[in-house]
Amino acid sequence: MTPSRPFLPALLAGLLGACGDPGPSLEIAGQRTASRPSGNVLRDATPSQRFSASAPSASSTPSDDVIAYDLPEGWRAVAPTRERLVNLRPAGHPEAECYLSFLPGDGGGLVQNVNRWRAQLGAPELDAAAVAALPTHALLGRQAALVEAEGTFTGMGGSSARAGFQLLGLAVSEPEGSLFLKFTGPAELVTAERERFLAFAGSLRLSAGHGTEGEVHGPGDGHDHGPGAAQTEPVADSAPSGLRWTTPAGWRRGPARSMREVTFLFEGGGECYVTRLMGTAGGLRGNLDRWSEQMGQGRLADAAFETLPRVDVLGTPVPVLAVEGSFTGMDGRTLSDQGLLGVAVIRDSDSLFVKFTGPAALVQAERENFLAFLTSLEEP
Amino acid sequence: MRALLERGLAVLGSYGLACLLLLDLFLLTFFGTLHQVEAGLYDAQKLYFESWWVVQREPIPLVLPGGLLCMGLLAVNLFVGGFVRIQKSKRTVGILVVHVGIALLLASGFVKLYHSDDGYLRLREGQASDEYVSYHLWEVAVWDASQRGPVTEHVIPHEHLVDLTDGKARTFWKAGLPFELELSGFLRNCEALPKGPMWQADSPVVGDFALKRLEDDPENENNVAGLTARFRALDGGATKEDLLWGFEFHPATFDAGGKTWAVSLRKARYPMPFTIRLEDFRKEDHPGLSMARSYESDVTKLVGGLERPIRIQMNEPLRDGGLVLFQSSFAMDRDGTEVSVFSVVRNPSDHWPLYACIVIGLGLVIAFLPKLFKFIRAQGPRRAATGVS
Repeated sequence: MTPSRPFLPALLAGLLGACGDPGPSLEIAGQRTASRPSGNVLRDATPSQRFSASAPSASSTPSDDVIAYDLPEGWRAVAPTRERLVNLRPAGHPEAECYLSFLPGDGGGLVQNVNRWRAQLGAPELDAAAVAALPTHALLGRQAALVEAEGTFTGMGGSSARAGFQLLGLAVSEPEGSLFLKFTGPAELVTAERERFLAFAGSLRLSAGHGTEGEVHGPGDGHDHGPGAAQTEPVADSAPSGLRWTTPAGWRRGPARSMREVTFLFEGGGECYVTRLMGTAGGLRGNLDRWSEQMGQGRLADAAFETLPRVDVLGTPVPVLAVEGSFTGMDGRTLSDQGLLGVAVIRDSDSLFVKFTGPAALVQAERENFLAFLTSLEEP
Repeated sequence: MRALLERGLAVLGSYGLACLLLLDLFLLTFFGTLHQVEAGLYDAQKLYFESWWVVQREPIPLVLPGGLLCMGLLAVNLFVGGFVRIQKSKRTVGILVVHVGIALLLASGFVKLYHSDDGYLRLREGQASDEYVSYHLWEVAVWDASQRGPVTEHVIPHEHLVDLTDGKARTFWKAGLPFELELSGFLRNCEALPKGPMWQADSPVVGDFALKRLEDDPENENNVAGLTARFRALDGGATKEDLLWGFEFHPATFDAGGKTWAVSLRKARYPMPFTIRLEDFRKEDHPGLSMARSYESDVTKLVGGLERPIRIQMNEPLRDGGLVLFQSSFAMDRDGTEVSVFSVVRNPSDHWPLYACIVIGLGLVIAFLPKLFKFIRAQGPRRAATGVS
């Protein structure tokens, strides 16, 4: 694949390395055959689509539509990403960031998160009593702890230390979900924009049709977390990759998630999603076995695998796995009376997985819709 | 002329030169270590050990022969002094063997410098790959976007990109490609951002986005490069200006010759002669702590239709096909899927230092064992004379 580098040319290159300007025009000498394409090509993608994680496509609603807010004067909204439901650039300053993120569960707890933020600016840790005594401010109907710290900001990865930075943050940590609104930037700017930040935090609200203001929801709690309302009749829709489908009546599209083309959420805790992975990603049998094991049913017997019903997905007849049992998630929690429907379209270049999990009754009830959804899938 | 040649050989093979070079190595190691604290390992290695000359301004202004020149001269010194000019007799056989071992050690360093790759392989459970990714080097890949399955890529290597700074541009072409690609404005660490009024763009503004230069990260693998690309169709038709960024989610595209071409700036990729699929990752923590005590990966090696289950764990790498895969770290994706990360090293001289040490040890034995025997033999009459039994 990669042309091997002969020893002698490498030796000469080394000896002549000091004077090796290849000039203003150069033939591309390197060529190789890769087993799959490098990255997803989106023809004529906009810079926003190319450089932002979850840039909205023409047919998908951006996260900003889920959560409404009053944009402070002089602040700019930038494309939301996988982690940032709302993503702003305070006062348009290139080094300032303000974003809202949501995590299912308590996200490690309030004390840990407050101290994580403080550590990013080199501030000393606070004990539980000090965290409990922090002032609070309204955030999506909750009273959030107001965290302030100043110092040298090292960010999430501990890289690019920036002196003279300040952090203003609001954090809510509850078992059903955690909300974090974080504003960082040069200290002078953050101080100057403090009132605008607090006003912005107070203005955050769920858009009409996305739950009752003041409720914090998480996956599996039966609430709608996504930008789409439930469809009353089948509707054509698509993902930024160009994948198209018809959303069955009653299905509700959820927000963009890491690694997923699309997620649908259901009352009662069910979800259906489409994932695309590069390569064969474990193969057909391996993935169906893994799903069966997740439901506590062990690997499929050869005879059971051979007799699975098939459905045409993206021009390929693929077996449909339907299994019921106790679902054990990655967090080790087990849910009983669960159902799973899944198909895997395995190709050399990339593979597509469609998986529906939830209470067994829900999964059974949605089986026909699931099959209709599968057959409606199309690629550009 | 002959006298001059002999004089030159005498200098090149002299102990004096050897001492100066060893002093240079000491200074390179000392100042390189100091530099590493501020600038990181990658920069220190490039500046002090993989260079011909070192021009240092801090902490002491200094010009030194770089590691490459120093090691090269040391090799010449060794060859001339240790092989050509050395007195060849039974007495010096051991010394000659030692010199062979040292030469092997120097050769292994040279082969590693110019003929090895290293990178990482990051796999989710169930995911497979037949290539690994460089930690440090970038490349621009160009391919016909209509290809499915195996894809033929034209690759512009790191060394043809990194000097494109300070207004320098380079045009790349290839027979069969219906367009030319001009690259310029290489930024070692940058971010693609929507252009606002408060910051100066370090690239042209393309569709409201521009590249903003960021301070270099001492941990070089954290730097994300950027480039400005200008496409020109060879039929005199379309032109297009675009940005390339190491963290882009989709490559740039250009329509030429009736096809859509994709161009991507990415970390250099190296093929493996087999495919590795991660079946299961396991981690065991220290009791009561979330700190990993040990972790291991069950993988399947796929080659030529054959599958072989293998376990890779700390201190037990997979050695195959000239590659060594070490279990290096792990992560968890947001959806809870475990991810295993392997360090991958391809070094043809991987075992040469071991062989060199064996040869040097053998040479020392040959050189010093006769002296030991001679000493023991001399002790006999001496003891007899002094009456010591």
